[in-house]
Amino acid sequence: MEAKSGVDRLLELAYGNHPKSASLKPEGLKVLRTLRESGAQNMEQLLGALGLDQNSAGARKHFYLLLRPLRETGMIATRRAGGKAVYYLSYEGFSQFLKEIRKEAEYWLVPEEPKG
Amino acid sequence: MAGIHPSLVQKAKDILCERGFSEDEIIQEFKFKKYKIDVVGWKKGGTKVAVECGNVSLSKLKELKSYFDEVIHIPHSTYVLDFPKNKGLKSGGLLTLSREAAGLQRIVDYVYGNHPKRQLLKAKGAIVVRFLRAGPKSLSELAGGLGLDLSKPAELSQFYAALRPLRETGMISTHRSQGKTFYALSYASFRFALEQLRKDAEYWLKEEGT
Repeated sequence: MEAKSGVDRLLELAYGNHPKSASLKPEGLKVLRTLRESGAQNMEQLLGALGLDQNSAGARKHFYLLLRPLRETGMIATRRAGGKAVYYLSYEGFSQFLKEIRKEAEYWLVPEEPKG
Repeated sequence: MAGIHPSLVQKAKDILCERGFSEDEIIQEFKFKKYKIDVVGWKKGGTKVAVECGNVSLSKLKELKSYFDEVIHIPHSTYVLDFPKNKGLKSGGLLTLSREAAGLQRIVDYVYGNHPKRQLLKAKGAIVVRFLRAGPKSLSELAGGLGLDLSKPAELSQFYAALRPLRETGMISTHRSQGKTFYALSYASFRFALEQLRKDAEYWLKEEGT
């Protein structure tokens, strides 16, 4: 149960609270689960895990749309292997993302020293 | 204006709102001399701020600088570049990077998320953080800083709506003193919330068995 609320927080951070992007959360969870359980995957493998048609341009567009928030927050990263992009979980990438927010907070959430 | 991402224009409006311009004083696609300026904050007899979004020529920014109190450029990136009027423009170092503004925007984006209804609250959230950086404030002082009259039900609910995400993420905390509620920034509890996320990530963002 605790793990579930944990992943909810991560997905909330990635997809936000906009109704359209928030509707991608269940599929985002599938991506995280697949990468966690099966390790790095290429696009075709992930499309398969999501039940999307590999030959459909619409499905590919949906795939990129789905993965963008996870990539932007550093949760998943890509590397090239055998001429193909491979997606994998990146705790380090996400830690860096959090570190940057923390640094900004360190400046903004600590009251200014009184002048003079 | 063509080809400019709406989020940049929205960001421009948020910045102007944060600087005290009301909705009536914020004009999109403002015609000025031979130019069309993406967004302008225009107070009659007061401050005038021009905001250019996306790609823009340096000569246009330079020329606008001589007519406006401030010229802000929001490029296709997360940083905000601005030209405060009291700072001269130097060749080779023309754009002054306002890291502060970009940092605050980043935090506010994180706290309020991307829900359309919350976009207008972001500017208020930024004002709250700036205001509380000077020290804790009472409820009425904070409402005054936001220009809200808490005796009006609509403005009261706007006040709490603006503050809720800041409280939920631990960025601000409250305490009672002499029968009054005081609001203060709380880096410690915000950091705790981030630490919680990091712990969640430790489980979810590492492959099983690693």
